[in-house]
Amino acid sequence: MNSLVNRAIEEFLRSTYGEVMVQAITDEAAVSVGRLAPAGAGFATAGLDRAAFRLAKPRAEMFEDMGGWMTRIEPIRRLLRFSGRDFRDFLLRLDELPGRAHLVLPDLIVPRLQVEATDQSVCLSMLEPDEAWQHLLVGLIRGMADDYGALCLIAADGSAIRIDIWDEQFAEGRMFCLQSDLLSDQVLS
Amino acid sequence: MSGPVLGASALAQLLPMHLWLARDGAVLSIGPTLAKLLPDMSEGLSARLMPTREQPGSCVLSAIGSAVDQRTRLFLRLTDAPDLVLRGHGVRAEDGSILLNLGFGIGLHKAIQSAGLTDDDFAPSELAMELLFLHEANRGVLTELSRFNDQLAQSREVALLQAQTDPLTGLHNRRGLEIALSLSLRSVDLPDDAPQPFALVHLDLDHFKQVNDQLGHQAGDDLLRSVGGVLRSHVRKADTAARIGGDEFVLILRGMTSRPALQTLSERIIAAINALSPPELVGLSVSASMGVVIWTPGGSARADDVLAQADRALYMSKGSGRGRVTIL
Repeated sequence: MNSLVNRAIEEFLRSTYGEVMVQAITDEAAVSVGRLAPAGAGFATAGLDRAAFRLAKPRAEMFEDMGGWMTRIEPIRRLLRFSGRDFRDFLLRLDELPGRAHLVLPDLIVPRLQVEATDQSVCLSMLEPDEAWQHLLVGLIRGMADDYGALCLIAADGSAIRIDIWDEQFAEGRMFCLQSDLLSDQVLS
Repeated sequence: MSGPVLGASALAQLLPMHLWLARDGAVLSIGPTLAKLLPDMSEGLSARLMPTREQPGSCVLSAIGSAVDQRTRLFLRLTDAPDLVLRGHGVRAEDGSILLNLGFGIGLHKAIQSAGLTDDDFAPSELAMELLFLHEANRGVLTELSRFNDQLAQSREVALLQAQTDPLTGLHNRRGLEIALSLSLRSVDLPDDAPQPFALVHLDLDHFKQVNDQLGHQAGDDLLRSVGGVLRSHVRKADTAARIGGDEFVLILRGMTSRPALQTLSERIIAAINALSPPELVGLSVSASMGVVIWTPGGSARADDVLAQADRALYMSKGSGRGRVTIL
């Protein structure tokens, strides 16, 4: 199921940095691998590394941006919203994320997550720590905090992620209903 | 036989899809989620629900009663939304009242749509959210995969076409010709669909080597490109034109069995190629020699044989003075 991941990376780079960047990375990858990938195949995380290098941007920031971008893609956002009725519920049930991912994409390896909660903060750790996933998740959680309208501080803390919630209902949050508009559109077409 | 008694609000909290009916069908209590689907139960049970085909009988109360007493599954259709079927089971209490617990099954989407349900409307033990999640996730993945497949199929088509095309002239290359010729020789799949007759034309430029030697390879390539244009404009859509190497071209003309017509066509092609002869060429002019073989069903089905025959005809043309056609 790598094709889906690779395409997501390509689309993220395209929508954030434009076609020229995507083309440059495609060419660079073709030179280093020695052959041109088929059109639309996207590129693996090496594509993010190449883009980070070209932009003189830390790798961690690149993965965070990608996580944030994912929460702005409506179908992905909806899937994440299904996992919690409010932001706190979403955080507490993040340990279900690998299981949910596995239901749909059995080949995708998602590190197992552990959630520990105190009054105002939630700590998310990975049983198999992985830097790329850590930063991707930071971006993703930050994006979802916006989506739910929560005010909080989200930061990498060692190999874990620490979320301090100041105000769960700070802003209105984005609209979410169980019935997908897409569904009714697709049934019609 | 008395145990703990649940109050109405506890019941509503635990079973948001319950329906508690007195012996006579009066509604004693209804879960908050079910109430969203069935407002105004005060109008009576039968105004809101009806039995499905699985539970025949005109009266909804007797259908419920018999399902409960026989411990079978209960299916109820909404009167206002007949495409919505609730399913569940029930028990009879000591006082004869009936407690039903209902659910949506596969009609979940319709129920959510018609009653505007949210996450809060489902008991935590329900898999409703997981079903919705799976449904949307699967749809997303399938859409992506089919998009990816389309793209692969398209790339494959382009690659196949490129592999059969001569980049200089845009005609078929030798491989493209071999495929077209073997298709022409084979009765296409159906036994009663016999192969059609065709003419195979083998064409070779005269004095092409001198163009390359005297005027350079660029001029040679330009000439080949122009010859490609001439051939393309003299064949029909169903025909095949190919450059099989150097200055050698082959045409497959489907259904062409008339010698006079082939003679005329060949002479027109030779004349058109004559006209392409570069004026800078000293002492001679470019022309073309052609060998034609007419193939009819029953002839050799081997592509090699047919090509060899056309080649023989071509050499007869070359031998008898060039710039002419020999039809076998």
